Amino acid sequence: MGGFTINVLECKSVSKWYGDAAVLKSVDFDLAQNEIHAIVGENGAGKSTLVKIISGLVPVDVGTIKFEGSDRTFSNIREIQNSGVALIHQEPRLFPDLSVLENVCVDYQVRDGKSKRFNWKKAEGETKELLAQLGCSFSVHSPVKALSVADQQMVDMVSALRKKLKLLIVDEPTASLTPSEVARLFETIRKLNASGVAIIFIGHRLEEVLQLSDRITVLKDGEVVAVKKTSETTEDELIRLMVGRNISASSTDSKTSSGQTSLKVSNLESPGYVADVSFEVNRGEILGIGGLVGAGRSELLETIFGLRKRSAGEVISTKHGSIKKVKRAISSGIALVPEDRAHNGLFLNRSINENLVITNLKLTSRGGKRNFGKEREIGQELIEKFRVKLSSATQLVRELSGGNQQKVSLAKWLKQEIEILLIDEPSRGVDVGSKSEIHQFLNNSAKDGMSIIMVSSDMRELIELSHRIIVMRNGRIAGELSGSEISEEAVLRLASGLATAGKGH
Amino acid sequence: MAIKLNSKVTYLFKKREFGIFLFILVLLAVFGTLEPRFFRSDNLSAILSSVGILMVVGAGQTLVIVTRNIDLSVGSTLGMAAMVMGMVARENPDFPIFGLIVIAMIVGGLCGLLNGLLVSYGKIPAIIATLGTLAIIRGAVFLVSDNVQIDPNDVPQGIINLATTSPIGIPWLLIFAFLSIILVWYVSSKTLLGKRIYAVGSNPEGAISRGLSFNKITIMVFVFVGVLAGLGGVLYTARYATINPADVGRGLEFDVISAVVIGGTNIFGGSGTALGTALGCILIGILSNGLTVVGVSPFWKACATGFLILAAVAIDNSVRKRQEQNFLLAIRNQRTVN
Ligand SMILES: Nc1ncnc2c1ncn2[C@@H]1O[C@H](COP(=O)(O)OP(=O)(O)OP(=O)(O)O)[C@@H](O)[C@H]1O
Ligand SMILES: [Mg+2]
Repeated sequence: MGGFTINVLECKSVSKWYGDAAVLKSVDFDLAQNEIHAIVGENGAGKSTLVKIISGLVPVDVGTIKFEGSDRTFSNIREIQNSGVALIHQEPRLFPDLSVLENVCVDYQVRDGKSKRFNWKKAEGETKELLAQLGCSFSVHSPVKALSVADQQMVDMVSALRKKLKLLIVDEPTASLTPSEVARLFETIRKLNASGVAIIFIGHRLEEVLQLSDRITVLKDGEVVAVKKTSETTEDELIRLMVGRNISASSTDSKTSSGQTSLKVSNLESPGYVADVSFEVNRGEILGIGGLVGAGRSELLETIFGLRKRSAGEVISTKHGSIKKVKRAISSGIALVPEDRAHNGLFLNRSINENLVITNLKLTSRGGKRNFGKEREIGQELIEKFRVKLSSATQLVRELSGGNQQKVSLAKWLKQEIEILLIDEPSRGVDVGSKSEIHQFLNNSAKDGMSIIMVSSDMRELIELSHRIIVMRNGRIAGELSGSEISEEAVLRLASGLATAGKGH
Repeated sequence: MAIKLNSKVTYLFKKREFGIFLFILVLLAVFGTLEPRFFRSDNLSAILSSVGILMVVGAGQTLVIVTRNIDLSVGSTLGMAAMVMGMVARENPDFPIFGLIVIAMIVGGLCGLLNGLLVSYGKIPAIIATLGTLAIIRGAVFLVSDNVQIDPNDVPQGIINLATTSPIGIPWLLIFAFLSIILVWYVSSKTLLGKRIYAVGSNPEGAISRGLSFNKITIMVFVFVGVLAGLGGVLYTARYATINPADVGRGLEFDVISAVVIGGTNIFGGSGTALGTALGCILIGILSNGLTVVGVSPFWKACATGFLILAAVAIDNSVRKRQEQNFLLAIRNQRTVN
């Protein structure tokens, strides 16, 4: 980079309040053409709010935004989108009932030639081409509700790419992607950037941020604490700036388990997802499950828990015997923390506290009568433990930042007597600080004798935490790694079949 | 691969609508066996007329429900349109028929506009807003007409003929019904506007963040159902030749919404087809006529209709759920295979 560049975007002393809470405090932010500018910060730091303001979804309270040199007063989203600004949301915002093609085209303006009719044929061709560029293999006619979160993200991406872009904002796009998908996404972003599209990138995985960006703005509690050239900073420095304290590296000291089997899965099969899966977990062991998105990992957890019909096989808890139904699983001390926590795990229109105690009513009520004092107490404990950033415990979950919602949905499970924890993507969308809290929680629980089966697409997390890793591919176990066999390359190799061995990045 | 999936989708829809079709056949068989008069041509044409009116209004209601809204005021709107048109015709016997139809559709459209504004800019949930206008518009029918009904000899012959004749043999009433359904089918499956309507129902927040004009689409579908209810008012007049302020269109919302929901439109928005609605209307039309013809008392008839609607929806739901599961499974399999 370097040299003289024109700023596409200049935000001057932008502030935003929700009620009394100042979410952004006089933020200055600028973006040069041809630049990839990353924004990092803890959950609730105000990253999403800032980009929502830039893309016109949320009005700014104080401050000015200059786009391409001229002042932009808040006008409607459509105008802003037409001026070439696109935002890809933290959670994909699609229309589940419509097909991929329809999702992509729905806001398209009819202006090809004189014809007033929309040219579906042409649109289909273009959409297919863009999907192919992103390396997606699903049909443009599949309904979006049939796609995985990662694929939905790709659809969201393609919807943005169809328009003439000047500024593309991606809010935590990699949270649910696998390494190869991330690599593909980054390649696309770089290509776009090279063709003159300015990029704002929000992410919690700092190694990715460092790899992709030219400049990094660090937000903390709604304030800009630093703007760094990527070449002149390090991961440690960023963490210090973001968090303001040192993060204890997750202790990888003793990866030992008791050797007592606690759960035995044999020949488990769920039609279309899981085929002939057998393994055992020990007390005090963290068993990682790796693999590509769509390999059947989440489905495996759901089948073990009894949420999904099984056509063959057995799940046997050493202590409680055979487990078939969800109710039995729960009473045997098994808990499942699902991947799509925002939808499966939360009541968005209820308060944080209510969401936290809903799974713990046994602890907080007696004879059907709620004990509000006890509820507050437990809520407070969980909020502190997981560092949920909020204005009050009675705030609605809907109003929390994405990562804080994730924390609430995770926290509410972890107050119970759990013997076997099935956890899907434990740190998706969660900032570095909280991530290490979650990791510590998992490590400590394992030390205390809990068995943990963890699905993770975050390679570092998988490798650091797991005592043993099972890699899945096409619903089957492709291989098992333990001890010194565990490496990123080994996992990738198994996950993708041997065909792509050695071509990790 | 695309072709395979495509045929899979149409297969699913075909199956759904096939179920309703079978149910219709069963009803026909039962009513025909119990009471041979059921198949007399005058009875069949009575069924067709009421089905036609249902279809015209149901076509509009389908799009409203697809957007996660509902219009409870369609019966009152139909009544208002018919009444205003009837009064114009009574005062001006030579008024052109085409003009009368346009007047009815405009009156209906205005009622729809009122609903649309209340729901979009007024931010009142549709079920409450249209419950209010159901009563308000009905009251207005009494006020406008001074509680005097329009008698058959005040209704122009040209209007009455709409229910029985046309240049091509099928009555105008059925042509209008057919066209309404075709229009909704075309808009919903071929146009971008149609996709936007479904998008708004499928994910309202998403629609706003993609820059779709949420309010505009809401108003549009309400005006649309209003205009069609206005047309329904013309057809009602053609069929009954009498416009009584208390009776005209009363309770129509029940039949229309039942027909749309039985036809497979999701009451939570986002999905529904014109063909499904057409079949739903036929089912409701046959059911209500058949129960009367076989001599079920009006009290029992109400119960039976309600019961059958619940049964139909329940069966339909469980079938749909299973089919959707299989369908998703098919897609997933395809993904893992290649
Ligand atoms: N609609 C709202 N009402 C009240 N408070 C809100 C609302 N939206 C966001 N907030 C608050 O604003 C703060 C910043 O939220 P924001 O979503 O910008 O965080 P973020 O940096 O994107 O975090 P994350 O990494 O978790 O996505 C949070 O504390 C959140 O609780
Ligand atoms: Mg965010």
